Amino acid sequence: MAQDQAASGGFIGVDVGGTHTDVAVLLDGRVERGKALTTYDDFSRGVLEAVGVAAGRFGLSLGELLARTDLFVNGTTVVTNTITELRGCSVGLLVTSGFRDVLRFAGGPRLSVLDDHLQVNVPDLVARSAIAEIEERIDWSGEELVPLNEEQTVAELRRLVEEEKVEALAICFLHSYANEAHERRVVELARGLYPDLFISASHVVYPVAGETRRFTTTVLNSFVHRDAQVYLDSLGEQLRTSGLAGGLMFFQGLGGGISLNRARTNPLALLGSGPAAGAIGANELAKRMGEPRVLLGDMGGTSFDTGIIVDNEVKVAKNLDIDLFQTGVNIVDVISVGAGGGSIASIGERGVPQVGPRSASSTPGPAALGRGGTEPTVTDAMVVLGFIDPARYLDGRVPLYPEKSAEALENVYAEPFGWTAVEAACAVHDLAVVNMATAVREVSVNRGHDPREFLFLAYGGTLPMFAGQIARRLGIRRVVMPANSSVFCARGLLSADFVVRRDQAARWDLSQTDGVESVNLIVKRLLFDSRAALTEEGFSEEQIEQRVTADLRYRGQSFELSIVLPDRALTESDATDIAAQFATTYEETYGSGTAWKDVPVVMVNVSVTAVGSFPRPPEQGPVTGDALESAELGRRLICLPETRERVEVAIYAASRLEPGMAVSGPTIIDAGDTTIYVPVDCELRLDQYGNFVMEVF
Amino acid sequence: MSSATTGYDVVAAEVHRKALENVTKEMAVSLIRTCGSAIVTEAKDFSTCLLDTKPEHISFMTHVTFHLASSLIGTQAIAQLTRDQSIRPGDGWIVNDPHTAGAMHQGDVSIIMPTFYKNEHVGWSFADMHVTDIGGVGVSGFAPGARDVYQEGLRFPPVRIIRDGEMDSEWENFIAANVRASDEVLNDIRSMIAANNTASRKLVDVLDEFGLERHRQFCEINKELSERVLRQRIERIPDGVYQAIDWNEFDGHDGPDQLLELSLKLHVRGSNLHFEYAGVPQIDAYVNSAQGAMWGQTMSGLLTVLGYGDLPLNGGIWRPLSFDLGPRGTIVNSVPPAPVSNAHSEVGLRVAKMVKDTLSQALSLSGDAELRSRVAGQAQDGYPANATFGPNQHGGHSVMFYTDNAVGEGGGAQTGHDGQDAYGCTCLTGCAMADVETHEASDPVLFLWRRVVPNSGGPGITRGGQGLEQAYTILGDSGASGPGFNACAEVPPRGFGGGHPASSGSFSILRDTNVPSLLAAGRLPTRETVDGTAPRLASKVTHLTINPHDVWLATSGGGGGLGDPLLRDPSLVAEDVASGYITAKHARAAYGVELVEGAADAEATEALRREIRRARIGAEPTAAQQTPQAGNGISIVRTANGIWACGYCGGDLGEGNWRETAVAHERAVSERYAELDMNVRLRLEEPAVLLREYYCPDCAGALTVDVVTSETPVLPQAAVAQSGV
Repeated sequence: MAQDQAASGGFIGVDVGGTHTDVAVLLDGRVERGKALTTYDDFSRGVLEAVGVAAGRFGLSLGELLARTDLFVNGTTVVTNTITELRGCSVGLLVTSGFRDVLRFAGGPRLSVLDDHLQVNVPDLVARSAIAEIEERIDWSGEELVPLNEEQTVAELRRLVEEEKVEALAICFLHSYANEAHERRVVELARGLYPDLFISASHVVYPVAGETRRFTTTVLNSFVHRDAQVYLDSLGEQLRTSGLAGGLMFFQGLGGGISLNRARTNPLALLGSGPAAGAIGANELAKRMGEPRVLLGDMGGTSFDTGIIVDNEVKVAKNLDIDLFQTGVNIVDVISVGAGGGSIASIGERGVPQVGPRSASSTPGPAALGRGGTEPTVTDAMVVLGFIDPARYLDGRVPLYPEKSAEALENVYAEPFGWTAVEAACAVHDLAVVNMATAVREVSVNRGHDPREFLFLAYGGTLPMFAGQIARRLGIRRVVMPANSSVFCARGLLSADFVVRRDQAARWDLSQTDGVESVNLIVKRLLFDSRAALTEEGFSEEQIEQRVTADLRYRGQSFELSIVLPDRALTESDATDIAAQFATTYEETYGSGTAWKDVPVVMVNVSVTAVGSFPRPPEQGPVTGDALESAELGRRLICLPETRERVEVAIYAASRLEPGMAVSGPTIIDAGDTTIYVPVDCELRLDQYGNFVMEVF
Repeated sequence: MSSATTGYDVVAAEVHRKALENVTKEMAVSLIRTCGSAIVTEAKDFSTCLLDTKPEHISFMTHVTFHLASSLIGTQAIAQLTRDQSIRPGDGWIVNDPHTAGAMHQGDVSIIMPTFYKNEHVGWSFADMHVTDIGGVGVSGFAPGARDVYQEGLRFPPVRIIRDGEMDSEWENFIAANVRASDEVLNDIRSMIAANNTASRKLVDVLDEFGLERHRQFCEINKELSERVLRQRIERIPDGVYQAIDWNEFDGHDGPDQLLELSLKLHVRGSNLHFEYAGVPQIDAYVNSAQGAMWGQTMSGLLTVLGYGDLPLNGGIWRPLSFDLGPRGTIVNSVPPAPVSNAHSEVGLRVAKMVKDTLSQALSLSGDAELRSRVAGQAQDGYPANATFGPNQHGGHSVMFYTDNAVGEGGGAQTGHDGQDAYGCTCLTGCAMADVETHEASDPVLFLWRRVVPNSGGPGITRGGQGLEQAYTILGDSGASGPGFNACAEVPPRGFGGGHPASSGSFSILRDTNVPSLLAAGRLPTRETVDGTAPRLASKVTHLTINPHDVWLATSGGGGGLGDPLLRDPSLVAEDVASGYITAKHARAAYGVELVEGAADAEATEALRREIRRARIGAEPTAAQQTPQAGNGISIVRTANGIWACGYCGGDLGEGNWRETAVAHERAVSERYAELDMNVRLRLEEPAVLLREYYCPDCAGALTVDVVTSETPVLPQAAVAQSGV
C-alpha cells in the first residue's frame, strides 16, 4: 500500500462517528469536507455518500475522486460499539485449568462509587459453557511445570466448535508471555481441525504479564472480529468496485493506521480511533503552527473529549478500560466526559441545576429539533441565547424550533427558580462550561501541567461556541479553532502514518546483571517482526522508523512508566543510565523529589513502535476573502452569558473572512456547520492556515 | 445568577462546590503521585478532604467511606487541643489513635493541617492512608497477637510534627526508629503532607474567585442541600425502632472460642436517625472498636444504601445522625488498654452489616417505592487472610499479605440484580484484585486455582454475590510463616425479606500433600486431585507455618440473598447451575428447581416447590404465594391500622411480634447448610449458631431467616410508631 500511485495525489480521511460520517479530502493542495448521516445497517453506504459530497466540492464524481486517491484512511466506531452494546460473536475460551473465572473477577469489579445499585457483575463475554479448562502449566520464569494435555485439548476444541457452536476461539494460558509453546500448540491443533476458525492467542494479542488484562484483551479481540470483518470487507469491497485506485488504511486507537488484513486479525486495535484521529490532527496542526504545548477539546452530541500534547508528543495511554472490561489496549490519551450538545439539563434531587451526563443523543435529540424531545439540552440553551441561528443550523439543512427550546427550559426551571427561558439558558451554558473546564483540568493539572501555559485547540461543530469561556475559566490565553472544525477528526486521518506496535513482557531487575541478554533477544525479535510487517506492506527501508521503549517501575510498585531505549543492543553497564533516566522521567511525571531512593528499578515490558510514513503533498493556504464589512452577514440580538445582557452583535460569515483580519468580541462567526463565539474582551483573527485564533484577555 | 425563589446564586453555589471537589481531587492526585505505594494505587486505601473551622466537611473525596469519621473526629480533637494556641500556616498534625482521635486502627494514619486565606484561618485539610507499617508486634498495623494497645505499635493522639509544611527531622528519626520499612513509611507520611500542601495552595485560588464571604455562604448552602436530601429520604421512612444483633467471632488467644455479642437499635424519628449500640465488655484482643470505627462503619453501611444519586458528601450528611455507643469499656466503645488494631474489620464490619439490616427493615415499610427498592441482603464483610514472611526465588524475602480474599467477598443481593461477585468490604469501594501472575513472579507461590465458590451467594429471588476461593502451594525449600485470620466463619451474613444467609468464608492448610507427586507425574494439581491432611485450625492464629508443598486454601463467603428463593425464576437457577455457580443439589434444596438435561423442568419444579411449601408449614398452604406486591424483598407489610401482613399473600400476621404468628423452624446453621450444600464453619462450643426460618402460615412464603445463637430469645419486630407510615 505504500508505493506511490501515478501522481494523482489524493488523500481521503473518513471518520465514522455515532451520528455523522465525516470526510476530509486533500487534493491538489486543497482540503474539502463532506458529511452524511452514519448508516448503521451498512456503514459503507454512509461513507460513500459523504465521500461523494466532498467529491462534488471538487467538481468530481465519486468514482473520479477515488480514481485519483492515493490513500484512503478510515476511522470507525464499529469495534467500540460491538463492545459497549455487547453484541459480539460467540467465543470459545481455552484457559489454564483452575482459572476459568478470571474474566468474572475482572481484576475486582467494584466501582469507586457508594451506591450499591451500581455495583453489578461484569457481563459474560464468553458463555460459561464455552469455557474449557485445559491441563497445562508454565511458571513465572517460563519453565514448563505440567505439559499440555493434547488429548483433552482436542476433545475440548471439538466440544466448543461442534456442540457449543462457537464462532471464534480465545486461547489464554497463565504466563504465556514468558513461554508461548502451549498456546502455540493449541493454535496448531485448532487450525488442523478448523482451518477457517478465527483464533486469538494471548501471547500474540498482548504478551504482557497480568492475566486479567491479557485474557480480557484476547477474548475481546475474538468477540469483536465478526462485526469488524463484516465492516472491513464490505467497505473494502465497495471502495474497490467504486474505483479506489490507491491504498486503504484503517485507523487504530494508538494513533496510526493498519492495513485491512492486519485489522482483520487484530480488530481490537480499531478501538477508540475517533478521538485518536482528532489528537493526531491536533498535533499536526500544532507542529505547523510551531506550538509545542496544546490542550485539545472536541465536543460532540453526547460527550466532550479532551487531551494534552506536550512537546508535540501525543501520549499513548496504556491499559484502556472500556466499561467494566480492563484491557491492555494502548490508546491515545484522551478522556471523555458526558458533556455534549445533547446533554440534558435537569434539576437534581438537591434542587440544583445539573447538565449531563444523560444525553438526548440523536433521537429524540434536543427539543429544538421538534422530534419529540421535551427535555432541554445544551443545544436548546444556545438556541435560546441566540447563538445558533435557527434558519442556518447545519448550513440550513435542518430546521429548528426555538420556541420548543424555550418551552423545554421553562418547563424545568421556571417554577423552582422563577427563571425565564433566557436565564435558564445562561445557567445551562455556565454549567456546561464548568463541566468541560473540569475535564480539561483533569488532563492538565492532574497530570502535572499548568493549563495557563497551553494553547487550547477546540474543534468539533459545537465547541467553538464555548471555547473562549472554557479558556477563561482555566486562565488559558489563546484558543485556536481550526479550519473545517466540524470534520477535524477526519482531517486528522489525512496525516496518519502506518503504525505497528509490539509489546512483550521482559524481566530485568536493573540491580542484577542477568536479564539484559533476554531483553536484547526480545527487542531484536520485535524489531525484526515489526520491520517485516512494514516491508510486507510495501514500505521501503527509508520510509520505516522504529522506536524501542521499555516499561519500568520501582520494585514493589504496581504501575509503570515508559522510557525510550538506545538504538542498539544493551549491555550490563547500561543499567545505571537506564535507572537514572527512569528516575528523571519519574520526577518529570510526579514532581521533583518523588523518585524512590535505594529501591531497585525493574524493567517489565519492552515495546517496539514501527512507523511507515507516506510522502504527502503540501497544503495551500486558504483562498483570500473580501473586506471585513462584506464579511458581515448581518446583526443579531444575542444574550451574553457572561453579563446576562441582551445585545446586538455582528455576525460574520467565516467563508468571507480574510487571513489577518481581526474581529473583537462580542461577536459570532458563522461557519455553516460551526458557530464560533468571540466573548467580550476577546479578539479573533484568521491565520494564514485558515484557522481562527482567539486571544482571551 | 440569583434566583427569585432561592435568594442566592444557585449556579455559582454549584460551581463553587465543584471547585472544592477539584481541590480534594487534586489533593488525591498529589498523594498518589508522590507516594507510589500499591496500597494507594491498587488497594485505593486512602482519602482526602476539606473541612471548615467548625469543623464540618466541605468536600470529601474517597474510596474509603469510614474516613468520614476519622477526618471529622481527628480534626475535632486538634481543634480542641489548639483552642488556646496559635496555629500557623504550614503547621500539621499526625493522628492515628483510635482511642482519642477517631482513627480506624493504628495502621490508618492521618495528616491534618489548617488552611488559611490572607492570614485568616479558614479551615482544615486532611489526608489519610494505610501506611506500610506502624511498628508493634503485628505487620502493617495488624496485630492479632497483641494483648493490649501498647503492644500494637506507635499511637499518635494529635501531635504537631509538621512546621512550615515539612516534617520535623527529630520526629522523622523517632518514627523511623519505631517502624519496619521506615523509608516507605516516611515516604507515605511525606506524600500526605504534599496532599495537604496542595490543598493550602489550591484553596486560595477558589477563595480568590469567590471571596471569603461567598465561600462561607456557599459552603453552608451546599451542606444544607445535602442535609436536606438525606433528611427527605429519612422522612419517607416510618418512625420507629429497628433492631439488629450480631456476634463478633473471637476464638480467644488460646481458646475457648467465644461469640461476642453486639447490637444496634436504629431509631428513626422524623428526619433523624439515631444509632444506639451495645456490646459485651471489651476483651484483650484486636477486635475491639472505638468511636471512629463505630461512626465510620455506620457511614459505610448507611451510604451504600442511602448515599445514591445527587448527594455530595459534606458536613450536611452528619446532621441528621446521632450516636449512642453506650457505657465505656465494651467492644463497641472500648477504652485503653483495649487493643484495637483490627477494630474496623472485626466489630466495625459487623456494625456495617447491622446498619444495612436495620435500614432494610425500616425501608421495607416505607410508602415510597424508591426507598423500598433499596432493601438488600448483607454483604459478607469479613474475610480470611494470612500475612506470612519467607525467602523467595529472587534471593530475598517476601512479605505475603494478599488482599485477594478481601476483594473477593460477595456483595448483598439487590432488588434489581444479583449481588456483585467479588464486591469486597462495604467500606472499600473501587478496590483492585492482584493478578495471580503478579504474585507468582514476586513470591515463592504457585497458584493451583482461583475460582468462584459454588453456592456461596445467599439464595433469594435475587441471589447474593459470590465469593472467591484460591489455593496456592509454597515452592522452594523454606516455607513461610506468620498470622492467619478470618472475621466471618461461624455467623454468616443475613439475607433479607425471606432471602437466605450466605455461605461464610474459611481458611485451611493442607499438609503432606500429593502436590510433588502430581507435578512429577506431569499432572496439574486441581481441586479434585489435591490430597492431604487438613488439621482444624482456629479462626485466628498468631503463628502459622506453611511448609513447602503445603497448600494454603482460602475461601471467601458470599452476600445474603433477597426475597424467597422459591420465587426465583427457574431459568435463572438453571443458568446458575450451568455456569457452575450453584450445584444441582443446592438448586433443589434452596430454590426448589428440578433440572432435566440442564433446563428447569416446569412441572417437576412446580411439584417440588409445592412440596417444600408443605414442609415449611406442615400443611397444605391455604393461599397462593405471589410475587411480593410491594417489591422484591418486601416479605412483611404493615397495614394502615398497624396490622402485620404477609408480603406475598396478604395473610394476617397479627398486631404484635409477627414472628409469633409465623411458622418457625430452628436448626443449627451447619446442619441446615449441609442440607443446602452451603459452607459455614462448624462450631463446636456453646452457644450454637442457629438459623430461625419464619414462614407465612397461609402461603408458606419465607418471611425472614434470622441468624441467632441458642441463647437468643425470639428477635423483636420493628417497633413502628403508629403515625409514622
